[in-house]
Parts: sequence; structure tokens; C-alpha cells
Amino acid sequence: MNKSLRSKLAIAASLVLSVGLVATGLPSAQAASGLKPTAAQLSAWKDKEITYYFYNDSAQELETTKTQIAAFEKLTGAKVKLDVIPFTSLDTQLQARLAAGNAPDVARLNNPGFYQNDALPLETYLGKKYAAEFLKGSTLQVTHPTTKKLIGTPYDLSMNGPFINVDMFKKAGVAIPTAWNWTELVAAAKKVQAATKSEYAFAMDKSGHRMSTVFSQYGAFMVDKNKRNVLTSSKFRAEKALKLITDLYKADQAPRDLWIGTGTKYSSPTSVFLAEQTPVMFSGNWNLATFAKDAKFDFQVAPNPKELNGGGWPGGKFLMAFKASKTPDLAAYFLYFLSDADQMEQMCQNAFWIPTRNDLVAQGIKYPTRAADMAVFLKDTANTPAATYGIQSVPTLTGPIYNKLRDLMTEVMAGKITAKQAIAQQIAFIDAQLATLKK
Amino acid sequence: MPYVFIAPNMLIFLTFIIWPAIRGVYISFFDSIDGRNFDYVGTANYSSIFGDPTVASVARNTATYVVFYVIISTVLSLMFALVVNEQKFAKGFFRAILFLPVMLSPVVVGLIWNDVLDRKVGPLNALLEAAGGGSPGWMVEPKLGMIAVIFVGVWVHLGFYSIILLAGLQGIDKSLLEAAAMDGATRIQIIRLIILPLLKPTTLVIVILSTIHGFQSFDFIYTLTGGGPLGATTLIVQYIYDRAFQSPIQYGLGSAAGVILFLIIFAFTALNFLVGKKKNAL
Amino acid sequence: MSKLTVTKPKSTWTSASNRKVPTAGSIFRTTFLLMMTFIVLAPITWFVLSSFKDLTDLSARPPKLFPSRWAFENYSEAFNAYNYTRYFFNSVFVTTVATFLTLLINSMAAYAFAKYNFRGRDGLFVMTLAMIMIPLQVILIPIYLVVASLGLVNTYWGMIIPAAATPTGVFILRQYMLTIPDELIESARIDGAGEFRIFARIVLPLCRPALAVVAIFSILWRWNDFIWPLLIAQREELYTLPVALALLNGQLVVPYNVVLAMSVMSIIPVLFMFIFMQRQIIQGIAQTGMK
Repeated sequence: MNKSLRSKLAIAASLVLSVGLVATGLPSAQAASGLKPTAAQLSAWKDKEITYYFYNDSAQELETTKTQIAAFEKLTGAKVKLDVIPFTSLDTQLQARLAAGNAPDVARLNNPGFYQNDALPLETYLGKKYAAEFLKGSTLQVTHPTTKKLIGTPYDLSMNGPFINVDMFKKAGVAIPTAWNWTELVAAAKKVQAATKSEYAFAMDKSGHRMSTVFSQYGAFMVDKNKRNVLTSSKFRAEKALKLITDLYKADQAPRDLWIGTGTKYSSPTSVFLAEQTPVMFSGNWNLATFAKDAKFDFQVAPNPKELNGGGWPGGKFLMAFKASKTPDLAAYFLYFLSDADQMEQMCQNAFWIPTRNDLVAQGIKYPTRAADMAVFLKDTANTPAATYGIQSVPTLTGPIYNKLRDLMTEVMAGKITAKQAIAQQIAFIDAQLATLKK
Repeated sequence: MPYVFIAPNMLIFLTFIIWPAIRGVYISFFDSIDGRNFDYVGTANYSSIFGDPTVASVARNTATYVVFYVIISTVLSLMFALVVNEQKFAKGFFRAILFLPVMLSPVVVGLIWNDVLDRKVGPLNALLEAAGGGSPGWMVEPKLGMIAVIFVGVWVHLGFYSIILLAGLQGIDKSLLEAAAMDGATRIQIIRLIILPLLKPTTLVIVILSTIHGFQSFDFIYTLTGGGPLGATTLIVQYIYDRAFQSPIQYGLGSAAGVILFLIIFAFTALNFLVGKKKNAL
Repeated sequence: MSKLTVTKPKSTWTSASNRKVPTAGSIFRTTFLLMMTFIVLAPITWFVLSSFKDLTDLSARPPKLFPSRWAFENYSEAFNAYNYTRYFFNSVFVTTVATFLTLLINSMAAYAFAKYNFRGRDGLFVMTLAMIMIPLQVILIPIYLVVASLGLVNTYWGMIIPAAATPTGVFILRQYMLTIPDELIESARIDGAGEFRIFARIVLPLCRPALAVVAIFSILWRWNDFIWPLLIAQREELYTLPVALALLNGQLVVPYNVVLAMSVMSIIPVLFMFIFMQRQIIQGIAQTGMK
């Protein structure tokens, strides 16, 4: 099962740019194109059905999607079939469907790079200026590498970062941090663990993508925007970062079993955090909605620890329509609808998303709840260094690269290899992967 | 006329088993990452399999699993069948109980044992700790992972093999046993010298069946350990599955591995069959 | 291959002597049997009990045998928040239709192999047997591509048809049919009965035990089938129980307590079938193994 959860996005760079511009008062937002279907289209679309291949990170996303679908159906007279896919089978099922000629019309994706040649170019239906409605960095992932045309929309931006259990921190008498580095984070976490006798001090999603955040903060990166292997030049910093995390797991202060005992399957320690077995959980903003709904304790988003660099690590989801669609114009319009300002704003507010539309970024999102948490994420987004989007230059390789990192981490945690050896192997792996591009 | 009777079955065989099998062999000479575009690579897939250290460890794992699985299954099911056969009362009950795991779906089997073997919240370790035996990480230590997987595999199929053996036991001529008893043989001697040899054909069936099952084990292992810890329980079928469902996707490589697996199973089965025939056991 | 002997299992203990059982032996036997019973029943019992625990109990350290409170909502959630009824219906539908199909075409093929002499008969039969050895995963992708090109993906038929031609079923039925005297069929022919009539009216009814066995196998296999339906059922409406369970287990936040409840519920129909048809199942397997 493909496990590249939050893909390699250049969004951070452009978000930095646009947030910076907003801060200086220069409006970078463009007016929404305000597309409305013509009468001819409406009659052609009546009762036609399209399929929306979808997965959700939280119940709120699912609910909001259903509401928006209902609105779309009312607007166009067409029907939308919502296929909810579990995240772990997202890419494999989609590839199976494409191979079978059973493509959905629109899909919400993690790895748009795999589907570049299957995606419907949007210019024909939505106009040349459509791409400009979104953050420049975000659209890179959904721009076809050779035709340079837009083949999808960036649906949201995600940001990695730590969640902390406030109740546990308070009980342990440890101050809630406003800024910290990793050493302080680990020390605080351990102190809270000791005082509250919780099972673990720390937990992180079983993911190379999440680990990359720590790399970045230590000043290490794997691939740069010129498709070069830069882990070699930052390997000592990477070793430090790797050792920090794996030591926690080796000492069983982080859920070692969940990581090691699941083989090639994905596992997320969200249930560990919800069961209050760890005071700190390193994940990302997509979990905010679920925690807001299900946590029976007081929690908040803590700022990303800053070592050499601040900020976090970006990810995101995308919408794509497929060439194989029987009603491409309807599919394109559905995509447009979902990505429009009103719908996006609603989704951001309900599910705690970070917007990718220039107009929304300019006006800011008023989060009805947990605004403080989102502010932390947004601040981290603004501080995320440009180099974090380097790996996005090789979209088809990010999956294998993150997965290899994850597997190497497992070996370090099990004591089979050292952090140093792991980094050496990762360097070799990246080189091998980059070589396949040249063939 | 007979062709009419055979037709529907054969049609399905041909369409859904033979033709895909041929196609699978064909694909094994290509490389494909999306199931739609194929690049011819000749025997590159096969040579990369033989040169791949991961494959070596997968092969080792599979061999270990199959050997232990077959031996333990055969011995235990023989024991169980012999014991139940001697049993006076509640024979049917014990037979039925052992058969229970056979009926569980492999997903459920994986779920059950994931729970029971959990290092922290599993009852097995709770019992072990109470008995002073520590808390082994069944699914976290590579060696323990293999032990756990073999155990669960045997647990699932034991009832199935036992029942076949029990039927074999029923088929043994009672007069032979009575004659031996009258000659003063003890029960143990009777079992060892008469029953077991006469049971050879059935035992051979068990060996063949368990070998095939062993090589084909995947579903419950995948649910239980996902092939971990550290690939210790990744057997060949999972290796094939991962080539199609884990990135990087390599359909051609997976097909090549599949062809190799089939040849291995075929060779083993044929070998078993021939050895059995030679020993005149069949 | 040895001829199949159709014997009823004896229910009496075949004693080699009239003496009472030696104590040592019976102690060993009883201990062994009780141990085996425990090893089989304990995990299953634990599992069923766990399905009534809420999430807090499930992560309790050390684990408690009985739930601190009986969380019946695990079961109700399966129906309300998750589509249990649909999955159950799909499993029942696919299993039933598939079993009927399997019985029909397997018995037809077995009849041809057993009672007719035609060119290629033995070769085809050996080929049929050889197919038992092909694991599904090996041909998974090619089968999928074939099914896709036939437009059967994401349909019930796609889940039902491909696995219906079970080689084991053909084998079991053939073995049984071999024991039906040819004279019966000959005399029916002389009486002017058509071939299909002979098959349907004379041969099939005689094969009830074997048909029962194949039916039971088919039900078991199809009910628990996981890999193939996972691939074919690309829409939630088609998910069978094992598929739904496996996918639920792969969610971002696994509703573990509901997964447990659904698993337990998925075992129940098979359990009932087992309790009622125990004798046939065990007899059938025994007779198969006697090849």
C-alpha cells in the first residue's frame, strides 16, 4: 500500500511569498473567474452521473463534502457518486481502476505525479487564467511537466507539526511552550511522561514524510529543486535528527511496536494520542478536526521545534479530473466547483484546512473554533524554508524515497543498523532512484 | 455430448485461470508500472530476482516457514487424530472444536492474534508476565515473529488435517488390530507397528496438502504482521503482492516471481507424489 | 489413484482388547485434548469478549478478561455508522449465487470426467488438478486485467464467476460419481432418456453427500474470500464482509472496537452452518482426503 501520506509540495515557498506579500499590503489575489454553466450545458448534464473518488482525514471533511455535493447536484441537475476509499488503498485502487478502464471522473489525491498522463487538462474547460487563482507553488504539482498545462487543482495545503496534551502538561507542571527546539521538546515530553506515568513520551506517524520535517529543522534535505541528491552534503545533520527520533523509539518512549510490528502497512498513533498515552504527537493539521471532535482532554497545537530552521514540512491534497471521463466538461466543472472560493472557505473552516487559493489567503480564513491552533500552523507555514519543496522536483520518486526512509528507521529502531548506516543507505537509495530518471 | 457438460467449467478455467496464467508468464518478460504500458525487458526480471538480496531473505523466510509448518502440522495432526481415535467419549466434540479455526476468515485470524499477541495489551503476555516469563515482543522481534506466524498457521489448519487423518484411521481394518492385541501387543506397539505404517498414504496426503498451503500462506500473515518485523515474515506470496500494491509498482517483476513460485510448488508436489509412489504408499 | 470407499465413520471406540483403558494413557489423552481445546477456544473467546469492550478497555494494561462495561454500542455502531447490513447482504448474495453456480458447473464437468470417454479426458482432468497449485496472487494481476477487459470489474458477476470453476469441487464430485454404477445410466439410456435428463434426474440426486461437501466448501471459501473481492469491488456498495473489515482496519483512525464487533458478527453465520452441518462437513473432508 502506497504510504506517501503528505506529498512533496512546493507550496511552502509560494505561501511564504504570498503571506509575505499580504503582510506588506500588496494584494496578490485574483478575482475568481465566476464560471457559470450555460443553459445548453445544464440540459446536457441533467441526470448524468459522475464519480468522485474520495478519501477523508476526518468526519468533518466527509460531511462537508456531502453537503457540497448536494449543492452541486442542485445547481447542475447532475448526480455525483461519492466513493470513499480508505487512505491506505488510495493509489493502488485508483491505479487498478485506471488499468481496468474504470476511471472515476474526479479524484482527490495525494500523489498527483502518478497520474499526469491520465489527468484532464483543465485549460479547455476552465480557461487559461484559472491556474492563477491558486498559489504558485501549489500548482507546480498539478502542472504537466512537458505541456506545462494545469491538470488539477491544489485542494489544500497541509502542515506538519506537534500536538500536545495540555492536561498532561499541566499535571506535570511543565510549561506550554511558545517556542522550543528539539532538545527542549524531548526533555519536556519525558518530564511529562515521568510525572503522569503515561505509556509514552512521544509519538510520530509511521512516515518518511513526517521524518523529513525533523530533517528540515536540523538543516538536512534529501532532494533539491534541481533533482540533485543533497542528503550527502547534509548527512551529519540528518544523522543527528534520525538518532533523536529513533532513540525515543528504541527506548520504548515512543510506540515502538506500532512501528515495527506492522511490516509494510501504514500505522498512525492517533489512537495512542486520543487514549492519552502520549503527551506529544507529531503529525499535521489534518488531524486537528478528528482531535477536536474526539479528544476527551484539552489539547493544542504546539509550534514546530526550531533547530537550524524553523517552520514545518508541507504536504497537500489535490483534485484531478480524468481524461477517461465520459462527461469531461461536467467533471471539470465539478472540480472547479469544489475548488471555488466559497466551497474552499467552508471546507477550511469545518475541517481546519489551510487554503491554497490566493483570494482566500489574502482575506484570511476565520476559523470558528481552534483559531489559535490554526494560527500556529499558519505561522509555521510562513516560516517553512524554501528548500522543503525541493523533493517535489521528482514527484514520481517521492513515494519510494519516503518509504525507504521509513523502512530504514524501522531497522534502526530494531537495533539492526545505526543511524549513520541508515543515512548512508538512504543516500545510496536516492542516488539509485535519481538514476532511473535519467534512463 | 460430454463436451457440453464440460464446457461451462472449462470455459471459466480457460478464461480466468489458464489464460491469465499464460498472460502472467508473458508479462514476466516485461516491465510495467501501471498495468497498461509494458516495456520489454527479456529475462531481466528473472535475473534481478536471483540477484536480489531481499528475494534471498524472502526465500529463506518461505523455506523456514514451510519446513516448520509442514513438520509441525503433520506431527501434531497425527497425534491429535491418534488420540481422538482412542477416545471413548466426546470424540465428536473435540473433533469439532479443532475444526473451528478452519472456518475463520484469514482477516479475522489476523485480527484475533494481533490482539492476543500484542506485547502490551495482549492476554498471552499478561499470562506470561504473571508467571514470571517477561513480555516478549511477538510481533516486534524478527525471530519471534516467525514463530508466531508458524504457530498461527498451524493453529488454523490443524483441524482440517486431523479430520483427514481420522478418516484414514477409520479405514484401517479392525481385525488386524484385534489380531495383534490377541498376540499380546501393547497399544503403543500396535500404534507404532501397524497403524502408523498403514496410515502412510494419508500422511503423505497431509504432507502434500500442508506443503501447498504453506507456500500459499499470505492473507493471515499480512493481517498479522504486514510482513514485518523487518521483513522477517515476508513470504514469497507477499513479495508478489507488494510488487503490485506497494510503490514502486512492478507488475512484471511480480509476475516473474509468481512463475517461479508456481514452478516450486509444482516441483515439490510432483516430488512428493513420486516419492510416495515409489515407496508404494499410494 | 485408490478408489474411494464410502464408509460411515464408526462412533464406537475400536478397542483392541476388553481391558479398561490404562490410566496413564487416558491421563495423557485427556490432558492433550484439553490443552488443544484451550489453545483453540481461548483466543476465540478472548476475541469475542473483546468485541464488547470500549476503546479504553481495549488499551488497558494489563488487559482485563471481561469488559468493565458491556459496550453494546460497538455492535450498534456497526449497523448505524458503518454499512454492516450492506456488507452482510453482499456476502450472503455472492456466497449463495457462487455456490449454486459452482455446484452446477462442477457437477456437470465431474459427470463428464467420470462417466464419459472422450478424447483429451485424462489430460484435461490432470490439468484441472494442476490448477489447485496456482496461488491466486500469482495470477492476480492478469486475472484482473482479463476481468477488466470483460467489463466485469465492480460487478457482482465479477466477484462470482471467476472462482466458480473450483478444481477441488470437480475432483470431489468426480470421485463420488465414479462409484455410481454405469448400469443405472445405461438402462436409463435404453429407456430413451436424454443425456441431460439422466444427469439431472438420476446422477445428481445420488450425489447428495458429495454435493453437500462441495457446497459447504464453496460457502466457506466465498464467505471468507478476501483478496479477490478486494480487487473487484471498487465501490462500497459491493464490499463483502472480509473486504469491509480489511479496509476498516486500514483507516487513518481505526475504529478498532467496531472492527472487532463486525468480525464477530461475520463469524456467526459460518458458525451456525458448522454446528448444523458438522457431520457432513467432516465426512466430506474425510472422503476427499482419501484420494
